[in-house]
Amino acid sequence: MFFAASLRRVTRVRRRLAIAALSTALAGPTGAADSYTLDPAHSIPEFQFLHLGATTQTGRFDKARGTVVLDPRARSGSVTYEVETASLNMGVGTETPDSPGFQLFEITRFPRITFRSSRLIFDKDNEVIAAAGQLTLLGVTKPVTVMVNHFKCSVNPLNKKRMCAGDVTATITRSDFGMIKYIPAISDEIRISVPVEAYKN
Amino acid sequence: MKKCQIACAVAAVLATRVIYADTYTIDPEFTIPVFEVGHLGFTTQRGSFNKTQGKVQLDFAAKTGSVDFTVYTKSLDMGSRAWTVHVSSEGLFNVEKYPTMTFESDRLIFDSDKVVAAEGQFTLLGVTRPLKVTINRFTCAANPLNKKFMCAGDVAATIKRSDFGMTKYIPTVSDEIKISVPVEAYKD
Repeated sequence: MFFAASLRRVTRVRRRLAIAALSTALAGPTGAADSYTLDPAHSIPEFQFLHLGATTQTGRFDKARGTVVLDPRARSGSVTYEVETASLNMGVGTETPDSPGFQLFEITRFPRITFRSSRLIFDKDNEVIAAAGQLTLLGVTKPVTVMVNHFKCSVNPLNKKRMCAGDVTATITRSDFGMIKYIPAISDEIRISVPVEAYKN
Repeated sequence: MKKCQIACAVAAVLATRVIYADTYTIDPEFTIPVFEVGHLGFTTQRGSFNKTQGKVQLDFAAKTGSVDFTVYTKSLDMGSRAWTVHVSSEGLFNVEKYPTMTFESDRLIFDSDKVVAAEGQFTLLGVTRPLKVTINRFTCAANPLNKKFMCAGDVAATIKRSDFGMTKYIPTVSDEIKISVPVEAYKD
């Protein structure tokens, strides 16, 4: 019984490997790359910090855009993501030059936060689990690896369009980017969460 | 004599409670509830309610207290205008008909001098059900910036929205909703 089951599994794995090899051969090295555009309404980046060591405060940027290029068979892809800092939303109304958020992000001087990656990391099922790239914040560029949780490509059941999606998370130390104001009242460590829903072009 | 012993003890306890119960008012700027919902089985989407009001009573000697918290549903903010309108509409938060959501508790649970949970009643869409919330990182101290004394912590709870009759789009939009409320409350 056990033997039969494991034999079946071996056969199945072999078959899958054969199909994968065949598909790769048919697709060629660059043939299967598709590009996807992020749906801005459902890809709103959020960040969390610890306030006075007591509460977790959440902020968000309501305007962000991005594109993803994916070739799962070749296990390659890239991401370009851009956040408009002026869309900062701390929940208390429009940010003004006096508000801490406006000052921290130096919104006038640095209108964009960007993340670019040309190194996506895939698991054994060719699903994206991470992306190693470069984050630019306050004009300072540093390498950052973001985690991609429950990555999935499928058809959106509501609008029937094909999309790839997942929850992207990262933790950064803001002082690495020269953002040192209000440490430690506003924690140095910032947790970032970006739900990404991207439709195939 | 024995009667007096009991009565006096009760009186003393009552007096102690009166002396040590302090009232705290929630700072709405730093008490913005955030909720998380699974979207299409794909992503975790978040929304917030930007307008809240509340009072907390704390009696550290008697280890008792109460919470009275109101969320104004019309302050819903999903980040995108169109989506905010959609989630505010009938079938979801129905903000025109139900302008408030409330949590009331008179049973705070203490672990030595820290509040770690609160058992109370949560009202959403006019439906009231018991809800236990957990409190993480409960701290009372003077805010180093404005020097005012405050108690603060992260309140967390998970609800099933169908328990409150909010059944639209289940399971496309998850039934389970995670709620996080950072609470910062200043002593009156």
